[in-house]
Amino acid sequence: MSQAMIEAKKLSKSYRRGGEVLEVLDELDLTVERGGFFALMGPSGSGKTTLLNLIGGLDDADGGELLVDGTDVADLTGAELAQWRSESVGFVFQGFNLIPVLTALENVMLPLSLAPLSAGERRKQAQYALELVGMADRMNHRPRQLSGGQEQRVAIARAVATDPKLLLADEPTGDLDRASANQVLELMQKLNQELGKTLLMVTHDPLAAEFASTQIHLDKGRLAEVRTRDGASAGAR
Amino acid sequence: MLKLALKNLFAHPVRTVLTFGSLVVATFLVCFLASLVTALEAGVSGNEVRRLWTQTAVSLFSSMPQSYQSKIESLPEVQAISKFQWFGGYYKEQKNFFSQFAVDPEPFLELYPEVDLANDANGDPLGSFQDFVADRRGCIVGKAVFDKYAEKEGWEVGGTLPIIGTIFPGKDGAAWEFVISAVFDAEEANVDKNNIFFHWDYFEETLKDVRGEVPEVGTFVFEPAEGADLDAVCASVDALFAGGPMRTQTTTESEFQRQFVGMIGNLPRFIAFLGFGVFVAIVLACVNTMLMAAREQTHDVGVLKALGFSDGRVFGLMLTQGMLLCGVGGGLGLLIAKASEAGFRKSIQIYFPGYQIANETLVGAAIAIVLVGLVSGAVPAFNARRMSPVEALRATV
Repeated sequence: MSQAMIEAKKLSKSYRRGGEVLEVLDELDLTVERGGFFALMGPSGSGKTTLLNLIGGLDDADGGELLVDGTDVADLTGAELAQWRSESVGFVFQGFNLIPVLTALENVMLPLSLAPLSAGERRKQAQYALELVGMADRMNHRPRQLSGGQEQRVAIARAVATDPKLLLADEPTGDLDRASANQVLELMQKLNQELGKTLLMVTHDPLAAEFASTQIHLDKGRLAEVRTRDGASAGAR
Repeated sequence: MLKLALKNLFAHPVRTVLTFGSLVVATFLVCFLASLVTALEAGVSGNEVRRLWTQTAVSLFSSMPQSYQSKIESLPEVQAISKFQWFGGYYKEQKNFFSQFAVDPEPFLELYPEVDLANDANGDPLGSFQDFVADRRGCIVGKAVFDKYAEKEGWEVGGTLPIIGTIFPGKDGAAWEFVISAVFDAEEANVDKNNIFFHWDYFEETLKDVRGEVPEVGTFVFEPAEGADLDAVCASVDALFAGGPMRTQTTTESEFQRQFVGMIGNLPRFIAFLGFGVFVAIVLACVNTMLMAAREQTHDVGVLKALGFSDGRVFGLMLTQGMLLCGVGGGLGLLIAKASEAGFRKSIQIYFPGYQIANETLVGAAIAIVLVGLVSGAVPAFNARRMSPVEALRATV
């Protein structure tokens, strides 16, 4: 199997806004290796979130090629893409996006309902995920009964519940205070280092980016710079 | 998914309970109104008998000479025939109104084989039809009206029943006095158990005494011979009086009942129209509720799709919510309609004899509920299905 978790070649995406075409990704070439923690940075409008959405199969590219863990997501039909997402990718959002009417445990069990598991197995796996993020004692709380940091930890538990290889996080600490943000980032680091998850995190926050092993900078839809913690260019190019 | 649909439904309990309430009321009303229509039309659609009715061609309020009876009887296609005259009296007070008719007892009983003798609580017959035939002041009383007044006023078989005539007052305004010979019942809905039938002879004698005139007849009811062509018999009867002072109109019992109901305007159609209006209103209310709920769940739709829920599953979730909303609310409405059937039957039986929530009505209402659920769930479900996850996650709600 290739060492690359993500391979983008001449990837392009544009949006039409009020009759104007905005080139968000401009023939982007990027390779992200398996098992790293990558911070995706760049100014607003540089294409970070769009790239994350394309990698996660939430949006379609206009052109180019995108392989995620060896799968060309453009080749998948709607139903296949949904199944691929459920098995291969975990999402963490800035606004946490927990389902408000469900408890923490039920939120984490939600993606597991798509897996061929019994109710007992789903519950057990969800409890394990909540223990992993230190939220086992809050499993019966609804999102509104949790702090922002706790909500984000539950969201991370939901993202890892199906044991995907790739976690995509879009500004996961954007709505959190520094202490909560650090807890979340440490947790993500733990998932990367102890469970071997590949993490790709969009962030504007240089302090958050410091938790990643590699920083990928985009500018005007193109790769601007790749910088490892020790200053070398490794893990992505 | 069902759990999530249920929880989403109760995310705003007040709104959901109010929508349930409107569904309960609307479903009850649809059942109630449909049953009123059924009750009104029971005499029309519920009878498969071959009885024919002759009235004047002018209107039901005009009458015919008694001599018409022998002319109709003279036709070989005609078997039993009875006069049928609306009396229009009341018991003690005007609020105690029910229908009374003067008939020829023997032919009447022959013409109406579906009229049975009622039994009391012990299973014993309430009087006898022979007594009715034998006693010129005798009358037979429908079970519904008998039960009502036996309890309140102590009516009993053999007892005297004073009826104050409005169209035909008794001597010096006194009440007509009938004797309750028997109580009748019937399985068929087209036989009104709120009616009273009494002797034409007593009616005629009394009127001669009071007014000094021979009464005319409102309608004749008769049975054509076995195998006779009904249209041909009707035409033969009407042909008898085509050149006479009062032309006639002879129709089947179904047609007669239809025209009778039509005299008060097209009430069944009006009630059906009301029921349809209620149905449309509840469709709009449910669609509105579901659209509001779906709008609030836009982010959730994006999250579900990001988690790997297919468009079909998301569609199913929204549709399930609509079906649950309507299923629970509508189901409660059906239960209440059925549970209140006996109470309503008792209170409106004078106006709507035979009122009942038939199984057909319940099934029809249940189908309507399913349709409302499908429509109210499908509109937001289609929207959610076609929405891209990115669009849903970005939506500002």
